Amino acid sequence: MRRRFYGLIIGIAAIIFTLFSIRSTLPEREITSSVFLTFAEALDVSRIPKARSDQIVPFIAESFLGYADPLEELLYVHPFKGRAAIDRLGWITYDRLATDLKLYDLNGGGQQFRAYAYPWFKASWRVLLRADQMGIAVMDKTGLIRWEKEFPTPITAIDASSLFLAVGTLDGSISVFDPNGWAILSMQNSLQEFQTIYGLALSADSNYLIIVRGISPKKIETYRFTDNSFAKVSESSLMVNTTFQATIAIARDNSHAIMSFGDMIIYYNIKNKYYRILEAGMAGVELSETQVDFRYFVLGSLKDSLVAILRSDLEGKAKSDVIILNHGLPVHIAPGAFGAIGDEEVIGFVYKDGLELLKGWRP
Amino acid sequence: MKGKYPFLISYLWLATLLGALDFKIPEVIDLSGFGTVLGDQAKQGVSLEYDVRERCYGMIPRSDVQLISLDTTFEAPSSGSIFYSQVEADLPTVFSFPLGGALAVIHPDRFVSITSGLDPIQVMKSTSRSSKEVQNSFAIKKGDKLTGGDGSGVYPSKNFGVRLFDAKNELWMNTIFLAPWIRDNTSPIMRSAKLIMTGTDKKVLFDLMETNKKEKLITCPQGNYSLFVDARDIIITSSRYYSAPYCIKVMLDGETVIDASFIAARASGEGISFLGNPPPSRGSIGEGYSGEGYSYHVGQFLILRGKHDLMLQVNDFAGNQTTMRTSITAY
Repeated sequence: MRRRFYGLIIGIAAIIFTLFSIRSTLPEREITSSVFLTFAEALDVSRIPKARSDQIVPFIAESFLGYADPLEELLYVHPFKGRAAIDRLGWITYDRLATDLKLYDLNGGGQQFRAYAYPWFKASWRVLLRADQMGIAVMDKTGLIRWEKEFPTPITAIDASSLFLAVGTLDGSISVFDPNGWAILSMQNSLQEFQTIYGLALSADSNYLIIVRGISPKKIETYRFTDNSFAKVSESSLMVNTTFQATIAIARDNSHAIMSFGDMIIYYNIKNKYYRILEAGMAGVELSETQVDFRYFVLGSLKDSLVAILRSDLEGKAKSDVIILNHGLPVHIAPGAFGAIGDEEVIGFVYKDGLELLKGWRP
Repeated sequence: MKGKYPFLISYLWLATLLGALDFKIPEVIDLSGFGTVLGDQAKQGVSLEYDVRERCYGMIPRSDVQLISLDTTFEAPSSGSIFYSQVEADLPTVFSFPLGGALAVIHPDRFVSITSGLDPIQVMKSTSRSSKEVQNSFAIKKGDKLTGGDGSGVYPSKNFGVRLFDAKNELWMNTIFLAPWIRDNTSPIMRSAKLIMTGTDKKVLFDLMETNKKEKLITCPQGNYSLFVDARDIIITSSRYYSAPYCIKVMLDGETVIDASFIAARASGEGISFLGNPPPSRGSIGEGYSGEGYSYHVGQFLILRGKHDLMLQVNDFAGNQTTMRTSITAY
């Protein structure tokens, strides 16, 4: 009887092992189509059919912003100058000095917006980051400020998921807000001992929060959402010698996070709590020993375990590439691209003159 | 008219706080001081377009000084170790933070300074781990040349932001006293001074400036009043920039009832506290109470029934003073 029981257990374990082995060795899906849509042939944003407004994917390019309709393979664009923040409901354009903000809806109608701040949009959050970097305001699609918060020291990190907005500061404080402005997590660091937040990221499903904090040594802290708040589940030392503000994204499958610190890219495995410095040799590029050649910015997670990063040439402002990492390994490079968009079906690269849409995926 | 004595006290207080910190604001051609309303002169002395009757998010007293250099370089105000740096992306697809290229430096006695508006390439190179002298690359020496390039963040070319935080006392410091090269001989200009009765649904408002031009007498109900003052100080002669006044004092029948200053701003979990107002800092700005600009909420005081003599003093950091007297009859 006992032997039969053990046999059953071993059998189930073997089936599970086989299933997982097959999954991890399955070939990536093939690209079913690749199309390049130029801005020259794009339609005006005011022509987006209402029925398609849930299907469009916002993007920002160099002198155009707008929406891609991957299924219809159409682009809707609006010319702009300076900088912009965009979501599915509209956009704000602004200049570097934060003195000329204009709020637009999907019809392309713009109105002057009164703020001395930089707008930042993500996951249906519309946030204004005050010009002194010490305050945020959350607004609705009409530009009405719903709530605001001031911090004692400059904000050094910000991220959002559909449910939460997380903010980290120079002194080391962390606040996570719900859409009503209630702080579901508030870790106020002593202003006397700075534990600077270098970067943070929320997972797309709002289950994880990852923070990089501390001057020396740095720590990677992982928090998990339980019982209406975030509780710390792990802490790892990050033995890197950098002072840079980080950009971080957690992969959609919550397996890992990718962090960039200026000229350094780090892969962090959330489950097994280890990190790896990636950049050397990435996509055939070696860093010079004597000078900084590139800086990296994490653009965001695309789907499954894919994360897009931007590699920008430090000396030539116009030179940049987008690199797609799969579990930290470079699997695709888009030379000359400076943005990436993605949903379940499509990955797109933003170029100066148009958008390349890849359906399906194969490295 | 001069009133140097209180300023000597302020300077000594600041010197006590600063202790061993050797911090000096480098000589520049122009500046906009601590406490000046952010965004009010964002473009080379030109005001951001706004209607004072409506609120403009982000217009709060500044906790840095904006320094305008003759060229695109700027001397580091003090020695220390860089512990945080941020760069501007220069690409529309990457969000850049408003301070642009910035370095946060830790100094002795737990002082932290932030220099902003720096050229991102210099920030990258001065703090890059791939520098051969990694350990030394995070150190910065007083007088080191920092480059601004075309300007970054909300700072135009040749503009830099410098702020100093006293972590021990949790204060953002007004560093104007740390610029010994400044010679300010002009008195602040008072543009508006209004008393608003508090604790009532109706906004009972008295314009001290208008009264002062005419009969110099206000007749008002007794009660608690808030004072809103719009005053500006030109620190550098013939400057296009102006600064906040340094302190505002109110004496009622010879007794000081308000004494608010921009010597420092207290930081706490709720935000930043200017002029003794509770945080957040937007509580220090009165919107729509001034004719052409924003007013500072400098405090509250009680006016009891009877005749009173009210004196309003506005001082700049160098001790230059502008005063205004008004008679009040409360019923």
